[in-house]
Amino acid sequence: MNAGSSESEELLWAAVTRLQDADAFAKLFDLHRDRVYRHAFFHLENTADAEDALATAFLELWRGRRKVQLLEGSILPWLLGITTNTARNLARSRRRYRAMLDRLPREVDPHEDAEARAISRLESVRSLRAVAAELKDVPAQDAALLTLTSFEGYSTETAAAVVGISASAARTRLHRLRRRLRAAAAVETTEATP
Amino acid sequence: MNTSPRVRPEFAAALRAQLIAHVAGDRPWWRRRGILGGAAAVAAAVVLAPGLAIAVNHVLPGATEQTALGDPVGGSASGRSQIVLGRVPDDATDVVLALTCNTEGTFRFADGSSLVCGDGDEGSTATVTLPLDPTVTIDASPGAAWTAEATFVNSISHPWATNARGETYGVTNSQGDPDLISAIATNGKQGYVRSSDLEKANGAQAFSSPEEALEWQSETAGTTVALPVYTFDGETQIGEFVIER
Repeated sequence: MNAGSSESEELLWAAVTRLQDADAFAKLFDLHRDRVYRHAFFHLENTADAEDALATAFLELWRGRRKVQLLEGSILPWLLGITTNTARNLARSRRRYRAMLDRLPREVDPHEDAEARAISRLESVRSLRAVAAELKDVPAQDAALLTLTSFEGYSTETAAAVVGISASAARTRLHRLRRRLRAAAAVETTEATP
Repeated sequence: MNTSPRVRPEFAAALRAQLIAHVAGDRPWWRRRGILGGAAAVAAAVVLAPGLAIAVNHVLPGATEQTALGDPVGGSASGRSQIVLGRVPDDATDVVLALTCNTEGTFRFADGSSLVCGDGDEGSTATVTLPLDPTVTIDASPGAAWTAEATFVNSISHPWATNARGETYGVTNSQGDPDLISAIATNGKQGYVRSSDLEKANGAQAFSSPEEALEWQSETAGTTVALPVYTFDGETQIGEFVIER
């Protein structure tokens, strides 16, 4: 994934961590902001919340920079893992960064939200909506494992590294989780059918 | 077709600018409390009860010796609040604030400095020296709970000392690092590490390019290095100072 950009991303991240290079951090933001926003929107389904999650994810990336691992030559898997956690604990995340978040421009058109939601629904298969709802109740690690593999297309190995467990443990958890979510999706499909 | 939700350009632009300011301006002093004698840590060690004289041989060269003037004034709050110290004593030069964060958050002060209390730092106390003012404003992020004590102090800055080799020794202070920096060795002995050794071990030397920094990082990640700890002469080794990278 993103094979062409991986070399420069490693260099950018080295500049961030070793040289506290703010411009390099901004370039990484440019590179990944849309993917992170999309990921946040998947969990939160509205612009204001997804924007807060986007901002918080990058602030958390900076705060936890010493722990970050580059996977497949990119910070994106790690960043998406942070985004999942941020979206699930948005109230707590907002408290930490309230002063910064308050300084960002908020002019949300309600139609835009509805439109984005509609697009998001069109793009995702119906079962994914059920997944998002169900994910609110599963442990944070499992939610990150599932969204990284099913929604973002990363390998189980990469997702396992993001949450800090072995690939085989991740496979077992994903198997159980998918079985549970298939059941939820089946219920959703039945309910949605007139 | 690319119809996924996309971040609003004006939001992205504003956030980008804020991230740059945040990364460039972040000073996580809280995490720098350590074994090496930094100015803040040393200041905390030598604040004394009012009127109590200090034996100069207990103060490391380069340290700031501070004598408390009057009793500390305490306060506790969540978010932005103030501690009112009242009348400024004639010989006061600064205010020392000992701040304990009870929750995570950022704490900003009138001089523009800040402390960041991160995950796992809750309950820890940091001591900062602030400009002389009868009122101390602690601008904590909303919901960030803290307990603090402020005291007027009289500060005297001691210069670094110089050994027979012509090297400066003492603690890191606002002037920067002396040639030999005060450190506690793994065997508990107080001595000095050579500033150049420390910089090299930390990767704080000037990298000419991100490529070079990356190369250094990949070579040293996960390694430890033991630096010699000397007495003030910079020659007699009395222990080791271990750095994990």
